[in-house]
Amino acid sequence: MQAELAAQAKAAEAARVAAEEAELAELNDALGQSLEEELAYEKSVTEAQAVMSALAYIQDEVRKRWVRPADARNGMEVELRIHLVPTGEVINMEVTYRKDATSAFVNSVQKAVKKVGRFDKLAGLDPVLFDANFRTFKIIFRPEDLRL
Amino acid sequence: MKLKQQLVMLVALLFANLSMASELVIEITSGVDDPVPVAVVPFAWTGNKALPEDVANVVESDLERSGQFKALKRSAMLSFPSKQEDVHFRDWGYLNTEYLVIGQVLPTEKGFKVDYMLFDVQQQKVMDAGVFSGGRKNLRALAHSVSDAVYEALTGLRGAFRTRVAYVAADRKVNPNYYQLLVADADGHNPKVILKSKQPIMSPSWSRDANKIAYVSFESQRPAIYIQDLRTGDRQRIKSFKGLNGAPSWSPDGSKLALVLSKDGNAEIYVLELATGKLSRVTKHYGIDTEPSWTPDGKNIIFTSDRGGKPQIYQVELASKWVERLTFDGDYNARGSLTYDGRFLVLVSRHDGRFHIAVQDLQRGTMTTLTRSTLDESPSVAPNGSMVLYATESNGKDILAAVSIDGNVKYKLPAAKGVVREPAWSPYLD
Repeated sequence: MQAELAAQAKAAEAARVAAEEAELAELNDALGQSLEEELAYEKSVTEAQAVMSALAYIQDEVRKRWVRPADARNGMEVELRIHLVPTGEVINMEVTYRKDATSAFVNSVQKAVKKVGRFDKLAGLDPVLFDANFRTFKIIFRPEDLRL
Repeated sequence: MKLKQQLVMLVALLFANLSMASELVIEITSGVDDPVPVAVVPFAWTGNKALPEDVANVVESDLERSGQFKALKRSAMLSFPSKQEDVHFRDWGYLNTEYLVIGQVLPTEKGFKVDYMLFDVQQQKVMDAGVFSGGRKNLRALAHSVSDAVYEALTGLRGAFRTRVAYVAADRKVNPNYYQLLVADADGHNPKVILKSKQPIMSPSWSRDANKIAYVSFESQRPAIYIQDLRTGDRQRIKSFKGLNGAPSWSPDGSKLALVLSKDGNAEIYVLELATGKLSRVTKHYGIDTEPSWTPDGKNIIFTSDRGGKPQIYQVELASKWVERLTFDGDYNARGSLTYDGRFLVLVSRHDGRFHIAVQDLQRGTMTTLTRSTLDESPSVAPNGSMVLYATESNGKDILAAVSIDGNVKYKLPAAKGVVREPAWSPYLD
């Protein structure tokens, strides 16, 4: 009886230990996974931030050089596809869409990009990110601040 | 933890969008409206006598008056090239000049020849070049032609510098014939009196070929409409009717006049076929219908009517006589006319007892006030739709002023003696 009880207690102890070990392993797994997740998250945040700030930089460079012609009106729209090389230099551009835009309006957006000529800061971007995002991209010019 | 997971998802999604989408798209919804720096070099002239006009100065003033360009001062120029081979682009780039205009004036048998070149300084290339020639008295007009060409090359919009304005002046003190109808260059220079009268002259309207002006004169003690040929000075009085004969407006094809007659009771709009003298009534309402002007296609007439209680602008389709109200903003809108592209309705609008020039975008339905002075009247649009000429008061004097269609640029025309009003901007001269 005593031996039976002792065996039972031992088995229970073993089961408890096994359960604890399993729990620990699971916990460790989960911890590892979350660390991986954490790292991936950090990386994606950094990359997204780099892309976002490059976008803001391009937007600003072009915006401040965009002189609208007299016949520019709210509601006109031109979409340009820009081709860059890794130095940030514009090597080509084409009009991919236009709506209600006069020829002067189209010229003005092309001129704005030509005036930038080279997006210097993009040269410092991670080459993988540059290839994925800035070899070609589009700019939509759609004035909303004109009085007419 | 939950929040963080959501954040991870969001960033992952965002990044996936950024990196996997076919292409990044950047949207730009604002730009700069600073005037573009341009240099107009004094035009070369090799003749013995001084020229009657400084051509480069006229071009410079024209471009600056548009509000879209800022001219480089002559004193800041490092050289005065008049030929392409003498242009050093680096110098002009150093002076922050974006565009450069050079040229020369050459004598011809009958007058002058002006040739010009326009350069894009940054790209170091010729954008436009041309020659204009004309008589001895036309040098200023030739300069305006250069301005028109340069303006069009730079903006894509046809220039309206070589156009004219007609207006009425009245000065009891200076002249016994104190009502005068004048025609001047669009910049107010070269005013010429084309009619003098002791009785009022009103409502000048240009024919589309810019050779004739229709107007109302009270010289026979009663209002009558006259058509005057600017080349010959010939005048023709069109058939008058009992009561009001007023507000003539030339149709776009030049074959008809819209006018206001009260022969059938009260003021109504009529259309007169000039070749046949056939008169047809357009409006029929007990309210006052007046101030007709045509839509660019000649199929509708815009007019002012108080049929709704307060003066508002309406449009009537000539074929069907269908009337549509165009203005709803405020309790006084009058003197409507359309830009040549038919998109903008320029008008006089009253707010808080003040009369302003305003523009209603017929495509978007929005109304924008262009002027802030108190007594602005008689708006007349330039043929390229870029500027509106109007009569106003400045320091107690009646003057003519112009405002850009977006309200950003304003200028006054050189002051004339006495009262000036009712300006009418001519169509293109050719």
